Amino acid sequence: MADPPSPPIDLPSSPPRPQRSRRKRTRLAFQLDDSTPSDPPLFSSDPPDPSVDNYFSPRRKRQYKGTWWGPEPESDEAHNSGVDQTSKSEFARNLDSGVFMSDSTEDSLSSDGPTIPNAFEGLQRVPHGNGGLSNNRNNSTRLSTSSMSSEERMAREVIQQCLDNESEIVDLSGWHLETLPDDIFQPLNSLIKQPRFLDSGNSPKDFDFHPLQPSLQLFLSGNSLRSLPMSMYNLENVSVLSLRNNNLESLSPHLHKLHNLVELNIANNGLRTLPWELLSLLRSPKLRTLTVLPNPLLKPFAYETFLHGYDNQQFAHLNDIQAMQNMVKNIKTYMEEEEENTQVDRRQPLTWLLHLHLRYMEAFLAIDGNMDMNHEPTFMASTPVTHFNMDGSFTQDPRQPPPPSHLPGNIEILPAILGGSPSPCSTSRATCVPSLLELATLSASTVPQLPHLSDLLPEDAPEPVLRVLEEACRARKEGGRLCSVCGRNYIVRRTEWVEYWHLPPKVGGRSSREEMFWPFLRRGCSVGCVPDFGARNTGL
Amino acid sequence: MAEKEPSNKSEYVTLVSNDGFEFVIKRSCANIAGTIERMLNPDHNFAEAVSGKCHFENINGVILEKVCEYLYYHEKNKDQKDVPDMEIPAELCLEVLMAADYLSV
Repeated sequence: MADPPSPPIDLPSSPPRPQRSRRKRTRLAFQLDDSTPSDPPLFSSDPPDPSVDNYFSPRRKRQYKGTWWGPEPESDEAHNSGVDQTSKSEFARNLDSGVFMSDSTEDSLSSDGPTIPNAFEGLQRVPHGNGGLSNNRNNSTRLSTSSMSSEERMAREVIQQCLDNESEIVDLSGWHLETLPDDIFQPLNSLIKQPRFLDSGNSPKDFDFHPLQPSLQLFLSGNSLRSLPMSMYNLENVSVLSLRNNNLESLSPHLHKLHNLVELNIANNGLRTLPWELLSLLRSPKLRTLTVLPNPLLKPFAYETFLHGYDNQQFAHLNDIQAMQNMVKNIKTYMEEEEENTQVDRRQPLTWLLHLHLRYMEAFLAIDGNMDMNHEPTFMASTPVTHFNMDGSFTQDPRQPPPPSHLPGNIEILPAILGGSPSPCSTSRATCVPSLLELATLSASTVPQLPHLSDLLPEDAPEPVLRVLEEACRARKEGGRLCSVCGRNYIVRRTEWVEYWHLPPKVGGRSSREEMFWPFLRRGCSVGCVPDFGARNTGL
Repeated sequence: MAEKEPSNKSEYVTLVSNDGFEFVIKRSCANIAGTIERMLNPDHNFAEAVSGKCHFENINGVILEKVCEYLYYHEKNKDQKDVPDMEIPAELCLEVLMAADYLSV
């Protein structure tokens, strides 16, 4: 079976210069062949003069001044005077040794100069970890200036300055940036802090022993970003991240990789839901401040129907069992009152509150009131699961809830069932086995030329095939997707639902009743990847 | 094997590729693929339901073998929580993709 023909792609092309010179050289070789009988006279004292007049004298081989294992000296020389190199190679021929030096060796020697920097150019686009060689850095900045917008160039300069000054505060706020290239934060990985007392010359004081691991502060607020560069999620040392005042409509699940975050601000964006993976970050005691509102987050019910005067802050004061029991009693009496009042349906918020308090009392008793339990988010409710077709499309079905990630903008309330609900889909076909379409797409996504694969398909390729390939491209751009249920790598989501969690006010920052219950979007990779409500209490 | 029996109740069915390879697989496995299930359902009055033999004019032997491998893989793991991976070689991915879409599996 024939391999699929490789599609036209933009590989770093080999430089044209050596090729040209090679052609010239071969022509020259023909001319010169008859005029070179044997070894020319050669003395070590001969001045190396690369001109046409005395091309017998210089020995080509001597131009290589360096160790046999490292071509650096030559390449450096060639790099500095690339033009000289070519003019030399036109005139100087290896006619001296009596040993025939084949064209290829000759070529590799003389073209070392021009090819090495060019090879770097190709490499520069690939994100690399070190970024430490100043030469490389200059190369990359010089390279990309041609295709960069002025904002992007300034952003790169700011990052470069941070590196040079060992500054941990990267401030890109208020620049009206619309996009950032994926690799922009890559250099920040190489930020190194110097031990401070080295400068002073004195013996170190106690306060000089601070950790050398940097704690970056990244300010991207006040831009028009719709998505965030992938390289941001690899910056494990970010401690403060501000994404305030942007146009983000969703957050990447990869955000949870920033596990050293102390402060996260995602206020004033277009977020309807938070990624479910963020919960692992919220559980970490490191995260002290999370600012989410204002954002058009989904709500389980209208908060106007909420208990009067009740908010998250009040909840925080419930620090002993007596207060909790009183609160539960209060809620129960409220509920009885509401039963008579049929005008506004306040029962649901009350049931939620009651549920929450009972859960907390349970936890409180279990740990004897000793532990600071304010860190633990509590699962409240889940919306019914939306199922997608094999190719990720969604068929309208009255029994199916609309997909939470594509709700019309005017829907603010997405009702959920307390404690979770069984999947509306028949369980007979609910298997965790990925579809063959999914497996083939996963296999396709390992091909480097993924974006060009669709060109290899026949003209009349069915739409689902094109759709999954597009989805694979998107997944690659997002840096891969992991199923929130089974942890498997996937391309096409098959299930989707929203879970409401209660975040304790300590993490929730400002406390209002809008901040009682947060929507977290969860996705599964197969029909069988649906919430398992039985195992909920034991953690995730 | 029972592949030559004209009964539509036989336990095995035959899948034939466009280059003449025949794969005799369990009916329960074949029914995982929506298109094959429809072909074999006697209610739909397809010739395949009578002969128990499905010809695929657009799938070659190599791909059909992969498809059969998947059908058995699916049948084996359908009730499991922790499903092992099934590898599909990258050079086959586009053809398998087309076949998977056609067979709706």
